[in-house]
Amino acid sequence: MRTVFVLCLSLLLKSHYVRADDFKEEIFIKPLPPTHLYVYFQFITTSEESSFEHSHLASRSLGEVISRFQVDELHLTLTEGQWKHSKWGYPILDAAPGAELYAWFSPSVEDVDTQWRKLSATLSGLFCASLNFIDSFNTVVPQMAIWPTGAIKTNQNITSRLRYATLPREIVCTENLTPWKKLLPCESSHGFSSLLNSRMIHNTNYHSIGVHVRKMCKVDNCSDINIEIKQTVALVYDYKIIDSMDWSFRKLFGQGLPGACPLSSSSKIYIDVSSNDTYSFKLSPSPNNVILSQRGGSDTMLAVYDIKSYNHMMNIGVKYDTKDKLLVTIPPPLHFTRYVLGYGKEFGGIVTEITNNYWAPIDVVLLENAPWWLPIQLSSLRINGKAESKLVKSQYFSPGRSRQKPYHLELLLQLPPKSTTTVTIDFEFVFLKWQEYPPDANHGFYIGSALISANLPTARNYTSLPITGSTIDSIINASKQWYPAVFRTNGAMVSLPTPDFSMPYNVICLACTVVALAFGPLHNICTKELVLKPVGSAISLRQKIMNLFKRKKD
Amino acid sequence: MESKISYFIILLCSLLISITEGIDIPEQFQKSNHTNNWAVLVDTSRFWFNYRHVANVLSIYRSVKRLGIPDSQIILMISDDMACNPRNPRPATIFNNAHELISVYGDDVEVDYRGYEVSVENFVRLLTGRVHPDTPRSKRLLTDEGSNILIYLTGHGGDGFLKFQDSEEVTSQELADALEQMWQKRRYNEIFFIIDTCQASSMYEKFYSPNILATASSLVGEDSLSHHVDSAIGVYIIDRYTYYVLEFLENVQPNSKKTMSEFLAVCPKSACLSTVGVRKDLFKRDPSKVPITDFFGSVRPVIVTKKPIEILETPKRKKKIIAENKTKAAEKRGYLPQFPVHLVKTS
Amino acid sequence: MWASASFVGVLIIIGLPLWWKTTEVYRVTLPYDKISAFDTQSHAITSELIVLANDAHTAAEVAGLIEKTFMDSDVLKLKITKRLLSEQLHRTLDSVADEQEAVEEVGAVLDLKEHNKLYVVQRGPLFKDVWVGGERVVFFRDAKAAETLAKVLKQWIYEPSVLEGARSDTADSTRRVRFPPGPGYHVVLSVVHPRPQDLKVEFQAGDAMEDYIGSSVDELEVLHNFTLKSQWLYLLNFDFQAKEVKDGSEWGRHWAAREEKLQQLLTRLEARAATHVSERPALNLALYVVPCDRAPLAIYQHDKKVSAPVQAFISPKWGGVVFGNPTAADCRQESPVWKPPVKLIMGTFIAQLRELLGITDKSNIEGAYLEPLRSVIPRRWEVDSLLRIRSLEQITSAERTLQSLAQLLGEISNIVINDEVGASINAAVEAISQAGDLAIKGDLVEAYRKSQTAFLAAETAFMEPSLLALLYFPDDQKYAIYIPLFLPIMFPVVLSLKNLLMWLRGKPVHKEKMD
Repeated sequence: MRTVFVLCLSLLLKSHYVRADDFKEEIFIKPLPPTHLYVYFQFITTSEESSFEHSHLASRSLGEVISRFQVDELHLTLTEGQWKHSKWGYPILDAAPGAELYAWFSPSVEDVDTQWRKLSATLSGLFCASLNFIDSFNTVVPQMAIWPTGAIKTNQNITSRLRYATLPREIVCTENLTPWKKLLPCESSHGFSSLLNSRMIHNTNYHSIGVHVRKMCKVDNCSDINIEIKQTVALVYDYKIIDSMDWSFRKLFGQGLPGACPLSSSSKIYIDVSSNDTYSFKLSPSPNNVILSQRGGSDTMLAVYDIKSYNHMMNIGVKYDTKDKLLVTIPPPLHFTRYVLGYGKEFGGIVTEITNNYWAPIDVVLLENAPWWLPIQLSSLRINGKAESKLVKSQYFSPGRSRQKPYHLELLLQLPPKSTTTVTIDFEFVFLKWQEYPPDANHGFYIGSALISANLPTARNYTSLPITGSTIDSIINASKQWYPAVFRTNGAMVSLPTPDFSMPYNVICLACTVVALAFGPLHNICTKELVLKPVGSAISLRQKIMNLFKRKKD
Repeated sequence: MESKISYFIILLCSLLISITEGIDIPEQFQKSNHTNNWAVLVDTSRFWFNYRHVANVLSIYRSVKRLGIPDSQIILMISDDMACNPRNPRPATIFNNAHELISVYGDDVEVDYRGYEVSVENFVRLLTGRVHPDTPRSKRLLTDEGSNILIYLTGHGGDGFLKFQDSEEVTSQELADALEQMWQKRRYNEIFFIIDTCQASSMYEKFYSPNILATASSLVGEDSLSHHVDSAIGVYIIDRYTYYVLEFLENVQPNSKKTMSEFLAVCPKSACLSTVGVRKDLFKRDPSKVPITDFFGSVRPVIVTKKPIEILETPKRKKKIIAENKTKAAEKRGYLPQFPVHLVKTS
Repeated sequence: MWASASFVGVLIIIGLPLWWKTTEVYRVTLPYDKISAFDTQSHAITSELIVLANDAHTAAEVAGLIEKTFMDSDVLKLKITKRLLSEQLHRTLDSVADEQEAVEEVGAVLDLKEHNKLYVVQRGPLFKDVWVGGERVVFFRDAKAAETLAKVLKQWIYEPSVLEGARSDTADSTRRVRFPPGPGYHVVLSVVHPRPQDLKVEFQAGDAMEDYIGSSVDELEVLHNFTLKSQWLYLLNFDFQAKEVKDGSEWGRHWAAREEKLQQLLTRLEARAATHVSERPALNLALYVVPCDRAPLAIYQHDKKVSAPVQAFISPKWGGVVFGNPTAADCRQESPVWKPPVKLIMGTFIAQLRELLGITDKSNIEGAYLEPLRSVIPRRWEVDSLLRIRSLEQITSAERTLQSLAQLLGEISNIVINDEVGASINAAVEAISQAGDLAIKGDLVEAYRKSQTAFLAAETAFMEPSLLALLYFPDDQKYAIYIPLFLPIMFPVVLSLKNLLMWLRGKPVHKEKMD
């Protein structure tokens, strides 16, 4: 009897969808002294996997894309500006300049490349970005640098289902932010997203919007999973643009915070006040709570506001006590730079310099990705000027093919302590076909950034969330042995040999003239014969000319 | 008796559904039988000094959106990014007037084709519907036989062609052929074609498909001129023709009684410094009797439902039950290390 | 002279074909004669009708009248068979109390599952002349009911006017409402909840969608594939500019939204519903939860309140919207909770869905009784009717597409027709003729399938991206490249032709020199 009852109950429960959808919004603010301010928004929607057809808080349009193309994990960022790791430390989520898209497809997908192309085309419609330019010629399959952040079935080959592409030229503006906001359950009318006023957030040194979809364990043993859709905005304000060091929401976003999104289960603002010791400032209104987080040997003070408890307009702001004070910034354990070598239009090289400031060696994976029109040769690879290096622990090279595949080099390096490692690789320039040049060919051609995936032994400057966490409070006291992070170097630009585009017509005219000039004599030689004429009567000039054309009859 | 009652109910229900158009159209207007409105707005020029062309196209975009055409039925093509261009002193805005009162870019803009995507090929594909199969629906012109389409082009042109991004051009013949292919596939009811370039009228001279009303900012042999410079932005910010068009459209409301002939006379030669060309011979109606909202507004017939079905018992879908019965095999899942640690250890 | 001749020879044998080959627009030979022979007005569909009467006389009279009614219709051919009811069935039909039971009795003897086959059965104790239910059975009382029966068949069941509209050049009123034909649709239910903070809505959108809409569209599987989706759209504010009107209801008021305002709601909805992501056309259903301070909202048509159990409207080819008005009691609770009347709301959605998919509304006929629909499942003969309409619509649409394409190929010279497009044109032509034959034969389901094949093949052929392959190589560029190249070569060769000709005729080439 009892079992029947339980059975009935479980059936009853099953027939109604349990609404497991959950929405959280968070802001993380960190001053990047002396001149910048980092503001990071994240909106997290978790939902059950089965509910993509019938969605509640999660965006149905994104869910439909994920389920139609059978995507296991998806990361899309649209970024303008360059994150300066050496000055600003590390962001919570790094992003490549322009558009960056990578995704893991489910094992049931047979033709990953076709799905990938379709996925990027569909996303281009969803986000008003030119992601449809992603094709096999600019897609790589990273072998070591990127790993899925979600809970995946552990027994499968993951790399073959991964595709990664960047469009370094892609612009980011309001037209991308508008559809991005529409994916949020509160859209832009309520909650933290109402702060995302496009005029203010585009007036920054760095702005990046992103969508990250992954599968998360619902319970500890991971027998069941949730889908996490994380929408992020990262902004770096320049105190010069906002005109003073004292910032407030009104100055940053043009308005105060009208309150929390009524659909969110948690709406919190975290402000990193660690720099208060050296650079003292006052927060107003005062936070609900100040937490000390000890992580990997570095201490962080976090001021926390729980906006759910406020129901009026808020204007959180900071006032500095002392204005002009010099500050010594501690560089992060790892920083890097990338530049192009060479002159002329024949050969060149890409240099990536990685500096390890730490007292212990750091393992990094460097992913260099050169477009097909910039062929690189593995034989020209030099590490610190030498062809052979003990630093390389593992290496992967996939040569490109013209118009089909980019060049892709991955190196697993062990950077010695307190050193700078220089990785140089040469390339040669390629002539494009006439119609392959973009309309503004003289502007130059962008090379995407290199990926640097590092296994940091210290959490200094490290703000990323641990893999099992999704909210910012998960960084509190989250000490681990390793702090993995993926960074993007700056991109670069080369100027390819660019022809004069009226050239085809010139070529036609020239070629035709040459053909005409060549063919005439050739024809004459073949069809005419020179004959000696007996010297006789004097001939007139006219006759002479006629004689030239005369041919003999046999 | 009972059956009588039910019969009565049916009688009552018999007048149940009636069709009405969304907007009352005054009698003096010739009624259009279109059922939806679309707009294709194209800016073909790249580079910062062509700021004004982007402002032109966004002015029209702003107007049609304000007058009711939904974003899903506006195809906006913009060749270059002016709003977030590093040279723009006011990021994420585009102004059409030195007073900087209206940012025509707005906060809610969706650009369907941008940058390198704005090419002759994509434009002709969009019009004819022959797009790549993977193209999302938002980038397609999904019109039908009841669609009124507003086509607005701006950029640099010459006699018989319009340049796209300074690297290719669409000829008037290609454009006329594209429109004919649309007509043959019943992809429109009527088209209102506006072009703001130099020698603009040359672009519509070769049209041969019916139901097209065309207007151009200048005649063959004339240049279309820009209106004024914003010294803060540093470039010309709008073209004369579109400036006056926007001035006119800003006073149009969704229930406006203004006619197309008023629109066609919006920019006299004294204001535009070029002669506005009009071609009416392909258009069957009299423009003075066509309300401007036939092209700039949006019509959506609405039918009030008055007779729901009285469902007696809650149905249960059979298919779903089958799907639910499929038991999911529990799979071992877990998080992976975010670094190829195994490679480091072995070496 | 041989050299001269060989130059000419090489030019003629290699040069000319090369020039021809490189400048020609590649076009597969198409069945132009078949395409131009299409007559969109000629298609007709045969349907089977079996008259079962108690006596031969009645059967003959009824069948005769029906035949006469449909004689002048060239779009629908009725194949009428007269039969007598078996004695036993006759007796049971006369004895059973209600019509539902009678239908079951008929179903026990005859096969009612077959598409396109309608039984017209006599049943004496009928309270009306004619009775129509959900199955493929029509009851009539006696021979006197024949006229009403003919009317019922014409206006409710066969609808020749709608069929004519389906094949006509211009869209008729029903074609303007229903979705254009296609292999499948997404049905998306959006629950629009503008104030989640003030009102809790207890509604299982997913379940309602699956159970109600799912069960309904499963019956239409033969026509289209449906995918069902639902979503919640929160905080979507829309100002109806509604006026408050005092009344005697529980609320003491209602809000009057003018019908003209409604279309603007659609624009707002569309911006959020994001139905453009899917690859198929989406049929939008929206439940708009009216906030408590604006409830109850009523639609005003010509300054009169629409009286209906649920305030709702549809927009042709787009979808339907239902207003969910919470009651005064719901809103006056401490924490307001609204439990929507699911049956009523889903019933409205089903009514809207039927109309959008092409099931017409049946007007009243004197003396005839149409059993009101009490479930989500469409009547069986309505599905047949849809099959007929869609088949005809798809055949004629495919024909028109191919004719347009053929005309375009004549008008515009640089359209390429490659092998694939050629194949799909041929497939479409083939499928059109097959579908036409099957329709005449009365094999409705197969005819529909073939017509869909034809329709899709014709659409793909017309919309094939490769048709624009020569977009960048128009005629003027062609001449710009070929003329400068060929002219200088041709010139000396053509000049030498004269000599060559003389030589061939055996005349001396340089006559004057020989003198």
